Amino acid sequence: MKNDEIKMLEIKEIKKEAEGIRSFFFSKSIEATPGQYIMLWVPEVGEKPFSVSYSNSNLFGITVKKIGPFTSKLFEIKRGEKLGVRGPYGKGFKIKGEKVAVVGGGIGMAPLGFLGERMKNKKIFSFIGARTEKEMIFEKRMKRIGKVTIATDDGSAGKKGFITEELENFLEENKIDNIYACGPAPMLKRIAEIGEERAIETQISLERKIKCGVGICGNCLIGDFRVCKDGPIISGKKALQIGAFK
Amino acid sequence: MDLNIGVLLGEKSIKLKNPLVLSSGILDTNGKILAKIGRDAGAVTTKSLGMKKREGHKNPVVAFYEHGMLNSMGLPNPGAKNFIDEIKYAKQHTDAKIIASIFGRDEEEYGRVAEIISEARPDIIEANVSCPNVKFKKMFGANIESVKKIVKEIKKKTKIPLIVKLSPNTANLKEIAEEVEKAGGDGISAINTVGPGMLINAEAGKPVLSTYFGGVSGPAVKPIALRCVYEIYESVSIPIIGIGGVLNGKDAIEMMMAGASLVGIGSGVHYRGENIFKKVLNEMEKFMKENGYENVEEIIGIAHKK
Repeated sequence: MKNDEIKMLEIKEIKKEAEGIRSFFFSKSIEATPGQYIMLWVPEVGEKPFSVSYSNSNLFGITVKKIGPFTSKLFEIKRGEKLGVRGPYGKGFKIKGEKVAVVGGGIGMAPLGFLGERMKNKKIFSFIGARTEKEMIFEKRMKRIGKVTIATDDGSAGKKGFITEELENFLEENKIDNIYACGPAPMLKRIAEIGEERAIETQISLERKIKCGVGICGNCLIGDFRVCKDGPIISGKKALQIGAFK
Repeated sequence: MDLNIGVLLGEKSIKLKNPLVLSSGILDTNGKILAKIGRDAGAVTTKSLGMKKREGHKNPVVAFYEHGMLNSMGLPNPGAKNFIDEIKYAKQHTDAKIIASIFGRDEEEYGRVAEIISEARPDIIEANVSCPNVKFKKMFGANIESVKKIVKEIKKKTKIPLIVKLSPNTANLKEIAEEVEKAGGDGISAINTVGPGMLINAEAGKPVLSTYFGGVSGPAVKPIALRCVYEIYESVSIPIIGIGGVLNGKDAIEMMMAGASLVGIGSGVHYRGENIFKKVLNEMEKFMKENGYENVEEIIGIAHKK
C-alpha cells in the first residue's frame, strides 16, 4: 500500500519551539488528521513514531523533544537534508462538541495545536502543562484560537502544580462538552477519570513502543487493542476499561 | 456450504470450524488478541516462543514495497513459561484451536520448550525451524539432520501433535518434508518467509531494515508457497498448513488445491485488516457455491494428477 513505502522528504524548515524541542517541516505530501502519526526513519539510526503537529496547505510538521540517541541524532540534521516518512498511521481525534477543553502535558502538546486549528466554530479552552516555562510549547498558538491556562511543576509560568488541577477548577465553574488530551500517562489517567466523574466525553492519545505501525506485529497491544492502528487516540472511558494505565 | 474441516494429526483427529489459521508472527502476542482473531479463524498460532525472553530487533523491523513486505522482528517473545497463561486464556475464550509456535537455540532446546508449553495444553505445537532473521548456530530448517533431531526431541517430551514449519529457502524441501514424516512429525506448515530479501531506499542510498535483510511475505510469495505446498503434498501424507501470500478466498482455495488442508494467513492482516478471516471465508463460500463444491474438504489436492 502506497503510504507504507518510505518517502524521503526534504526538511524545509526547522523551528526551535522551546528548550530541547524543535519542529521539523516537510513539503506537504501526506494528508493527516490530528492525532495521527508518521513513522520517521533516519537511515542507519532507526525509525520512531511522531504525531503530526502542523499541517497547512503546503507544509506538514512534527515536533520533537530531544530525549535519547534517536532524537539527538535527529537534532544534528539540517535544513535541506532528507528524512524518511511513512504513514500517516492510526486513528486521529474525532472532532465534536461546541465547548471543548484541550489539555497537553509537555511534548504532549504536539498533536493538540494541529487539533485546535482544525476545530472550526468551537469555543476552545487550552490547558498547557510543563515542567518549567522553558519547556513549554504552543502557548501563542493556542492563544490565537482560544483561552489558555498554564501550570508548571516549578511555578515558572502559570500556576505551580498539575494542569489537571487547573482543569478541574475550571470545570467547577464551566460546562464543557469534550476534553482532548495528550501527555504523560498519569496525566492522561487523571483526565480519563475526570471525564468519568463528570460525565464528559474524553479522547486521549496513548503512547506505546510502536514497531510496525500497521497493526500486525502485536508489539503495542493493550489486550486486543492495537495502539498503533486502533489508536493512538482512544476514549478515556475505553482506556480505563482496557487497563491502559496499569 | 460446509467449511468445517477435520485434520488427522498422528492419532488425534482435530476438528476446526473452518480451514483458516492465523499464522505465527501476526497479532499473536497475548491471549486476548488470539481469542479475538479466533472468533473468525479456525485456529490461531502464537508468537514463536523460546526458552528465554527476547527483545527482538531495532526499528525498522518492517519494510514495504509494491508487491509485498519484509520483516525482521527477531523472534521477540516473553519466553515460553511466561506465555502459558496467555494460551490458557485464549483456550477459554475462543473455539478456535490453539497452535503454540516454538523455537530453540539448538535441537535439544526445542524439546525443552515443547515440554514447558505443553503445560498450557495447546491443541497443536508448531516447531518454527525456519526463521530467516535470527542466526543461531545453523539454519535448522535447511538441515535434514537437524530437523529430524528436532522432531525427535519434541516427541520425547510431549504427546501434543507436532507440526513443523518449513522454509522455502532450501533445495531439499521434499527430502526435509519426508524426514519430518519419518521422524514422527504429524503435519507440516509451509512456508515461512522467503529469502531473506533486502530493500534499499534509492534516495537514502541505504538499506531500510535495521538488520538489512528480512523475510519476504505478502502477495509476492504466493507462487512460491503454492509450489512448495504442491511438492510437499506429493512427498508426504501428513496434513499441510499452506501459508504464503493468501489475501482472498481464491488464494485460499488455490492453496488447498495445491494440497493444503488448512490455510495460514499472516501478512494478509495488513492488506485487508483484522477481519480478513471473515472476508476470506465469505469469498471461499461464494466460490464454492458458484463452482459446485459442497464441502471444503473436497478441494484439497485437486490440482494434482490422479
